[in-house]
Amino acid sequence: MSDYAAVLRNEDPRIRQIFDVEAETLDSGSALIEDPFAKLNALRAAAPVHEGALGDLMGYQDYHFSQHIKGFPAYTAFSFKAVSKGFIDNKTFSSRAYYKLGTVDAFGETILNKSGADHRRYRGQIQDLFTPEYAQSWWDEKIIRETVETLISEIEKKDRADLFLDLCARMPVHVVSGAFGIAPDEIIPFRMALLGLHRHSASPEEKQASMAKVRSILEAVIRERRSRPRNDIISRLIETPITTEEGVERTFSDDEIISHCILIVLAGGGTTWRQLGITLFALLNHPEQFAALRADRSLAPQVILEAARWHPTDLVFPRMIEEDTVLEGVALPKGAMLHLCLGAANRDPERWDDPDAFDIHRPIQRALAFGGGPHSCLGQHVSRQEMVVALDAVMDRLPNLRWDEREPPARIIGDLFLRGPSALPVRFG
Amino acid sequence: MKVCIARDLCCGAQACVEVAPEIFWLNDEGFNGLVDVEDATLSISDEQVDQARAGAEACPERALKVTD
Repeated sequence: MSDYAAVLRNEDPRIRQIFDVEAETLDSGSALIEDPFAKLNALRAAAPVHEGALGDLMGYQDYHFSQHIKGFPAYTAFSFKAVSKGFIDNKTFSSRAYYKLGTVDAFGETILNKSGADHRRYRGQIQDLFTPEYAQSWWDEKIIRETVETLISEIEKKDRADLFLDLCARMPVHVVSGAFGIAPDEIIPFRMALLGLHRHSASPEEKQASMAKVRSILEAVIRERRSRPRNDIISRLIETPITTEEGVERTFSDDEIISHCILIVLAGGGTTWRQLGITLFALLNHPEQFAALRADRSLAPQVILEAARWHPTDLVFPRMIEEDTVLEGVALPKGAMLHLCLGAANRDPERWDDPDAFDIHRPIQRALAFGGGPHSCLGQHVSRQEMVVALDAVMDRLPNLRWDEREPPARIIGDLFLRGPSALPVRFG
Repeated sequence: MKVCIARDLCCGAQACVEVAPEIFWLNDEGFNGLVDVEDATLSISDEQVDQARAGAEACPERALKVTD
């Protein structure tokens, strides 16, 4: 057994502590929102774009962005067309919003803050490590299969489990951190330090201490791989050539590698677990659709996309309006924030019939769960491969899977952001 | 040779146009203009193949394919 598998097999009380949607939402100072879609549907039906921040429009006083958006006029896009345009026209609606709002100040400079040709030069090189082919070969063989196999072989020894904690939570954080080159026993301490960078309740000193921990772990890996490269993402980033605006070829600096590691490992370990949880939640609530997937595994990619359309873990992303413009008939002023409500766009009845229904058989049409445009989700193909392998393992190894009626019913909860199931209590065998 | 697009995979990333501006163009919505072409296919000359391939490889969604 590898060190990596041994760590995965350990009972680790820290997992329960850091992967808890309810505790995390309350800690962020947000209200716990159960079902946002009735309000989102009503707002989208009233107008494609509204003046006001999403949380204010929905009547939620305390929500994730409230601490950041004070002082910025804000607008929110709800229709599929308006949100799609907001993602694609990155010159007018830029991702500088993240830096303007201060949400990612701790990360350092990354592709998130770049645009146009400059963004292309950097993203293009990093993207080669996250293509569909790379996800299905390198990522799959290096770490996804082993991770899922190890976790499911522990789960199948029992006859009941919380799949959200035992599978969904543990898989992505170990996959992405391990693939980057973080040592197995440092994966959870690294995660805790990453979360500490932007914890609402943390003092500036605590945030600094988290950053020092993050940097010390990454600097040690980078230093070691610079002298002895291995088969991991950090080694590959070290070798990746970048052409600067002036046409000079160079490689990434340590600081650039660190900031991209923070961005990608934080996102990879923080979204896929929720989205896989939402996917299993939807399948467990629709046994006839779960049976259809069991009978035809080639449906898995569209099952995953349909679950992400139906309930994306993040309902909204911010953009900065860079020039006066008009979006779907609404005048938007330079300097204001534009909230792209992909949660509402993904249920736009102009694009989907019966949009509130989870239906794996509906005709495939691009939704916006992974965003769109130049900044569409970098890790989405790795994420989807993780989910395909995990769903296969659940169907192959946990026969007669069903809700555990002795536990409280699962709900999807959270902020307007970072949503996921409360738990996934199941029985099998 | 020709290059074709899987319409529903185009997400407006626009990497194709950045990499191969002489072959690809954007429509008004910011998607690769091939999505509006009837058979979603464009004939390309032998000299254009390398550039078209580079454009296709830059696509994060693998929406573009260069074929005979």
